[in-house]
Amino acid sequence: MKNILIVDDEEDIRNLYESEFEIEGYNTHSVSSGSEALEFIKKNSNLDLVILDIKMDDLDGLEVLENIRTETNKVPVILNSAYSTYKNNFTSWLADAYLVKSSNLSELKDKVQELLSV
Amino acid sequence: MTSDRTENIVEIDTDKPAFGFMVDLTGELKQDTSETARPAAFFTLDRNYSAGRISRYGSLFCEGNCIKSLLNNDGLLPLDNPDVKCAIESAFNDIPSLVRFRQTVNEMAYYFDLYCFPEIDRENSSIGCFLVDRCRDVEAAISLQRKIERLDIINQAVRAFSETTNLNEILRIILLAVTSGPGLGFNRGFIFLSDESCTYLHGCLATGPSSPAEAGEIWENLSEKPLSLAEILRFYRSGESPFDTYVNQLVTSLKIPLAENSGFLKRCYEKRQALVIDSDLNLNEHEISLKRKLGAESLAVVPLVSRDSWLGVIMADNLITNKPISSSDLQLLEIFARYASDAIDNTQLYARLQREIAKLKEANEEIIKTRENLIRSEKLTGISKMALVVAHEIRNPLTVIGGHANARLRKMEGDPENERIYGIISKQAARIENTLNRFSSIVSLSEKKDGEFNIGELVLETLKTLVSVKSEKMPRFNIDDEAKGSRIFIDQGLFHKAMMIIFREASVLAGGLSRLRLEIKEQHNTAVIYVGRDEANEKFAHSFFDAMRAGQSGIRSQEISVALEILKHYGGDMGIGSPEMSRGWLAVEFPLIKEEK
Repeated sequence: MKNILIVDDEEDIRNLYESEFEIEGYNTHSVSSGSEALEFIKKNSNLDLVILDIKMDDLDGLEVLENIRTETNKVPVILNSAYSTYKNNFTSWLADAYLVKSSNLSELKDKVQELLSV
Repeated sequence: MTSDRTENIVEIDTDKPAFGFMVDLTGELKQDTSETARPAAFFTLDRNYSAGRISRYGSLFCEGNCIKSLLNNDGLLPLDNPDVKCAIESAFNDIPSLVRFRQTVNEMAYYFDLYCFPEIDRENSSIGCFLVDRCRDVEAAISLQRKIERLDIINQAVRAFSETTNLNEILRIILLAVTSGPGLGFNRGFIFLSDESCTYLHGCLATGPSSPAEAGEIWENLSEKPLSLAEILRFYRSGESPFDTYVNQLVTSLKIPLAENSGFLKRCYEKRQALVIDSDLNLNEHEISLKRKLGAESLAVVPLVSRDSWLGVIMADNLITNKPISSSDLQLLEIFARYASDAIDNTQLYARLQREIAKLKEANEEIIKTRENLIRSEKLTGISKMALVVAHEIRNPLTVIGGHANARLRKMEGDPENERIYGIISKQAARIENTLNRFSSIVSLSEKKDGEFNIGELVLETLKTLVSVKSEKMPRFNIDDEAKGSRIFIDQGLFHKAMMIIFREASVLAGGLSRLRLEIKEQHNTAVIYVGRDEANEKFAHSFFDAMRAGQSGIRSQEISVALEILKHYGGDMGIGSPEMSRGWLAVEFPLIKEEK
């Protein structure tokens, strides 16, 4: 089973994504902040994909992404934000995909599947 | 023989010099040798008005005609003139008198002052008469009057100059003054103005008859009633124009080069010298041709110079009357040309000023429009940003609500009531999301900040960013000397976005960013960024587009489309080209900003 890390400071979002991706057959983990995410990634080398929110309190998603890319370039990262404007930030180009949050999760699910099947 | 009754008779004081002669108390006449001395004759008259003791003073008296004959046979003294008779009789009555009269003898008009005084030591049997020839005074007065009239025309013209700022009107005034009868009195006048580089003279306006018949017609019209220059101007403004002539058509079609080695125009230009051209000697072929075309034998040429700038020339001639052009005519024309030059210069300055004012007005309107747009844009930005904050705050809970509704919906098969309710929640959540997406688009548009940027600096900045995020080496990058200052009009952020996509996708195809080769060139009003591969790759651009269409090599066609949209929004494009003829590079072009000259 593929391991997905969900990073979002909104508990309800985390719960929704966990339940939806578990139904899809993935093993999900979730954290509520950027620093927790980095710590998790450091400790779990078997991680297959990260769904990363951008606007978070301690460390924002783009800083987390830069850190991930400095450590390893291999883990696919999907930036998933309520904001579309971060697309103009060059750092966002380091991600494998940038999706604006939506109640329709089919696009997110398709992207996860696409990245994990490569 | 006729005489005119003249002015009043006045007594003379015999102690004072009178018109160059001194008569003392003994009746002795002494000649004054000063410049004011006039030719005169002395004689006595007896009671029968017979002249005796006739003496001439000055050989020019009555143009050298025999004074005795004139007095005794030709009736030089108009004794039928009551004023003359009265003056003579007064002298017989011991009262010295003076009378001024004009007498025509042998169809010649003479002007005289006659002084009559009693002879001392005589017994009233005769009187002394002193006849002063005033012909030269009268000639001088006529000449002076003519000069005053000419100066008056110049004065009228200068006044007329101040009433207009129209160059054509100024040129018309100049030529009317040059050719008007009481003015400078030339038969024809021509104005040639220089181009800015003083290499050519262009015929601008001419007036005057081209034949004696035409002259007769024009002068007949003018002589019906003596008109001032202002009246002539009004007359021609109201209808018929003296400029609708063959001469004007001819002159306005002429263009004479000034760069020839010799010639009167060059002398007039370089030495600011007024000239009368009487022969073809020392004229270049263009000037000879000009003289022949105008049919001029003798031509006055004066420079038009204002504030030390050469403006052109006024030419004038007397083709019809063949009157020689005197130095006085030339001098007066030169004086007039100075005023005319200032008027032309002022008009040209005024026209330039008007153009500058129009430009400033346009620029000012542009500023006002820009300011209004800025205010509108700022308002829009403020509203949009506020909407965006609200939208983002809504999006998270909406994702949760809609997400859960969708999840529940899948599990509600066989429960139509719940299926309907969750369906409604899902549908309404999607509807709100669409609204939020539209808000986001507005913010993106309002945040677009177009400006002028150096394309080389923009590309370098993009590359540096890409190098830092990709942790790769810089590709080989060259900017042509010509393109180093090339500036384009774009939103900096959007440029980076478009070029990041293109460079990133090209680097995927090339096998790394460091393996790309970039060149910027300026071609046909565009700045072109050529993207190729470091190693020989004849058809890099073809491979790029093929891969993009086929979705190979990781090239993302959707993102390339976004980049292309940005390019096209700013008038640019992407295609296949080459900085060197042999290779097919990817060419990204932007229109250059045109420099205002």
